[in-house]
Amino acid sequence: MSTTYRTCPRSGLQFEAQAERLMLVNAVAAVVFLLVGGILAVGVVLTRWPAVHWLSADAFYMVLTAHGIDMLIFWIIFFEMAVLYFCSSTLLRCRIATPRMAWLGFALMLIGAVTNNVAVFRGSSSVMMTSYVPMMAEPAFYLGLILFAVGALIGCFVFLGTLVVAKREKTYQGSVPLVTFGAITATIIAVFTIVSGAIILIPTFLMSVGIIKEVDPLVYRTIWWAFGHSSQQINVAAHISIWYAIAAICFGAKPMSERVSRGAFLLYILFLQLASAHHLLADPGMSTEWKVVNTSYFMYFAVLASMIHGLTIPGAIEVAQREKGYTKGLFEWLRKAPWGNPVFSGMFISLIGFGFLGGISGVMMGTEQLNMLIHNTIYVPGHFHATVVVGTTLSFMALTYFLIPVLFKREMINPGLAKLQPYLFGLSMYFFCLVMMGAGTLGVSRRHWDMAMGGSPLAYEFPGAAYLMMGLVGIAGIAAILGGAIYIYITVGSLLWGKKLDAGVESSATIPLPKTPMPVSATIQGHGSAGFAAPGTFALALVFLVSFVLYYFINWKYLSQVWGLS
Amino acid sequence: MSAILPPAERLWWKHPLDRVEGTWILIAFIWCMIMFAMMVGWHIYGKQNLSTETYKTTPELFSNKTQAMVEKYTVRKETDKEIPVVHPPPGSDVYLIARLWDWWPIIELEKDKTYKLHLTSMDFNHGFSLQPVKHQHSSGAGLRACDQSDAESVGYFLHRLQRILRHRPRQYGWPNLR
Repeated sequence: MSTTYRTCPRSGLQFEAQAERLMLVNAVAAVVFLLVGGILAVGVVLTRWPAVHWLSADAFYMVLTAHGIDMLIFWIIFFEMAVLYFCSSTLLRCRIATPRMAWLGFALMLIGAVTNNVAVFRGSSSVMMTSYVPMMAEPAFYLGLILFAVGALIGCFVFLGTLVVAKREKTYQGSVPLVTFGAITATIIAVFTIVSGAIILIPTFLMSVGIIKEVDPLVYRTIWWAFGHSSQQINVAAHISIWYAIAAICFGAKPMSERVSRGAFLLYILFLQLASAHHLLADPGMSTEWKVVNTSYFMYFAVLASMIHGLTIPGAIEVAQREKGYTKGLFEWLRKAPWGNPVFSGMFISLIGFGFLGGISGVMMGTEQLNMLIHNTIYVPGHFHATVVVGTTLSFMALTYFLIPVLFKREMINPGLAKLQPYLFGLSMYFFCLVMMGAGTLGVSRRHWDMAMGGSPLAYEFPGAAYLMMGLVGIAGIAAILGGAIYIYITVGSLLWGKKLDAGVESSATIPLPKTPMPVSATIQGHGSAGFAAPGTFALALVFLVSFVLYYFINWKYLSQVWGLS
Repeated sequence: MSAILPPAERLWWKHPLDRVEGTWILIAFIWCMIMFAMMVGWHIYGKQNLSTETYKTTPELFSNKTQAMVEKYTVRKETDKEIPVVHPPPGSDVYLIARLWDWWPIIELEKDKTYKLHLTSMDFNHGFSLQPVKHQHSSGAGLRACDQSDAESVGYFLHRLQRILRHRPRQYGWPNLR
């Protein structure tokens, strides 16, 4: 099949025509679902804000179901498809494999997403994203998810096929770039995730149409979480790849050590999915050994991997900045970073928030015994908004600001507003997550429409602090939604009204990546101090470690004071 | 080279690592092992560990056992709904039913005494939360989890327990049907 390649004059990146169109449609579909999910978020936060308590119970559960699925599944996975095509076809400068199959995958994803949304908005599928049996949704609810998953699986195989094309047509030499390596990690996790989803959602669909009589509730929970939690593991691998990409784009940063960064991705492939056990820690039926091994990602090896990425990404930026002459003290490199560039600021706010808020809280709540303190409270959404929203969504937003001129060939409208957006969105989400976790620590329930459980014959009165924090959740949520709205305004507005930019030279053949001229084992220690290439980053990492250790042991202390049980 | 370009060395696994990376990996690894040891060690030395004792049961069977307990040990009834308040003897098996939208019956336990608490659900997945003691568990339909609670700090909690066990269900994704 004949195709053309366009070299972007602004970035030097080369886009193949089919891959470029696929990236465009996937990114646009993603933003549409973000918009829908964002509007739904208004309903969620204004209902859980006790003083407002806006929606009726039925409407709230419907809105919450749609918000979860549209955000965590549809927005993120559509965007990830664009990222996969970028990391294969664009970074490796090759044609995309089987473009027709890729379009089929996209069509299935779109049909599935719309089908699922229609089922939810009809009102009889308010089963939450988790859709635990024996509580049943409409058949279309499951069918939509299954179609979407099949489409996404096709996308994963197109990505893998594209890697084969690049290798066979020798469009690059040596190993694939680190960012592509990270995308491969995400894809491997995605295949595991989607297959797990199929194993449990297909029988549940058959149950909903009456072909199968029963799906065991505990088997459902066990397998569903191999799908549900692993979805976020795809995101982690994807957004960490994006952090590496943004460090390269904004600073020309090279990985401190390819071996370390790739080794950390390998740890993800091996151990990250075990974390689905976090959701089953309070379930009957699992042995203690099973819980301990799985919930710790087999002795915390995936946590080790995340702690490595948390050092090597800012470390790579620090090394690049020091080479440019920002060598004063520990932090000149960070002070002189382009804080006004939303690509960088979004990525850095995401990295810090993901580590401090999402990472530390995740390990705490994933500890078998500590989990009892917060299981099924609103602490859990507090945690996963720090990982999914601060980590993944904000990273995708930051990457979008890079893609507007490069992929969409438009000048960004209102750059002043774009500068502010990551701060407004990211910092209000920080606060949102913190107060949500605070309320959860006081025992506020995870999903209940009315935290006061009003109407019960013997109601439970929460302390005033719980109401205060849920009120703050509402205020911070509205601020974050405003930040999200600005992102959508800038993205959609730039596509519609942004000044058209020069598309660059088109050619009928790819220009392969040149062989890298860098000397082998170039030293990176020239500009650091105390024998450390990145002393500032190391200092930041130690601050992280101290916070981690303190928070972890405070919770053990807290646990030791509650009733014993065995 | 930069992370979006192929690495300069084909054999990336031979790429040397900087001292900052090596040091951090060592620190992080030690911390990971400490966390793992904490979780295992708490099973040996700690007092708060979830029981994994689980039995297969049916709603009918469990309901009958609960009913038998209620008939034997009810000491009074509370609220307009006449919910039985059960005061089982220490050391006995205590049964608690979850169903939309109730935990049933109200249970009154004595300070410093040990009980064996059985939980199950009659319909959907329910969560069990004890406030303000803060134990959160799940009970799946058709199974019962068995926790041996060592009620050592009841005092204040005892009074709350009877109220809360009954009325603080954690719903797993289900519309409010009050």
